[in-house]
Amino acid sequence: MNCNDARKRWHLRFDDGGADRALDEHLGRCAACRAYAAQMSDLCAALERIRDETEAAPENAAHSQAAPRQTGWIIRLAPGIAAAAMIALALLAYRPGIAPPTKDSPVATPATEGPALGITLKDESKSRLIAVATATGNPDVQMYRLYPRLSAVSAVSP
Amino acid sequence: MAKASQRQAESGDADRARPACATLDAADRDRLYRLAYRFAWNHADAEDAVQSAVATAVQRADQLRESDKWWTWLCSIVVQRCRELRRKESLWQRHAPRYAHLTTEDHGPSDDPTSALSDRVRELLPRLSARQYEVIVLRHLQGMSYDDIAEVLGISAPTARVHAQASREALRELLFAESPTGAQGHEL
Repeated sequence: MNCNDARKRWHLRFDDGGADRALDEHLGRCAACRAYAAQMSDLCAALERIRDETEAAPENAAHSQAAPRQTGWIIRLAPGIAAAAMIALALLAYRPGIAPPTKDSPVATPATEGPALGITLKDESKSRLIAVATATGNPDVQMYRLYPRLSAVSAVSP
Repeated sequence: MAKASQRQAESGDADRARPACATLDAADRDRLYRLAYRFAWNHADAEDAVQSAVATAVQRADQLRESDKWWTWLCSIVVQRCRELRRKESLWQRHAPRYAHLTTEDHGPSDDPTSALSDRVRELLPRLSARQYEVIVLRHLQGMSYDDIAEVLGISAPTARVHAQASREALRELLFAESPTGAQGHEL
């Protein structure tokens, strides 16, 4: 066995465990490979220590409110959700016999958002969605945005 | 492997292999967060990566054909998000100095040689190539099997094993650059 073979076998033994008498014999008579094995052992121990440290650290941060930069995905989903909400509101507001809106009719526009008015969700939706109502330019129309609540997220096939 | 509870579709044989509803519980979410954190070394970026990955997973849930690979599939999306973060913002270079600062802030200067060595390893991790770093994180920090690493990275298990060996070798060379133990290749 040469040194290259010995070092490959060191990695195999590290990954799979078990005994390797030939490797041990080589290490017994090759100072360079002994040093290599010692350095690798130190390195793997250091990695294990990092794993242990990071195993505990995120527990605190995962539920922390200190640095919740969680808006990126919401921003990406918001246009679609807002569009769906607008369509739903339009369908709900539709009354047969009422003339369709004209150019001069008051139109709800997201650009004139007012303060959030709040909305209460019920049953299962309460744990899955966050609803935020915002005023629009039309006092008779409110726009509701629904955001998924990650702590209870469910991946559902469309 | 996957601890995410999964319910199979009740109707139709074609849908049986597909998870109609896969729930991510708090423990799964923490594991995903740790994975992202070990790539980003930054709570905000890790949180962002997990949120983004879960949103993507929800949108693409119908693309998953083998329900027992739900967890590695989700991990692969997290890894992909972290890779994009790194590509866009040069994340490693940006956080390497910050991380070194956190190391001393969190743990303080230590006379423990094991602690000093792990601090040094942390500083050197960003100098690995992207693939080397991914394998080190998945294998040594996340504790994944080579089969799972292969699924997450889209490579074969033997290739994952070779990458792990090369990654350890690269890290050892960086760590002990002053005391090389070059293989001589001769018969002993």
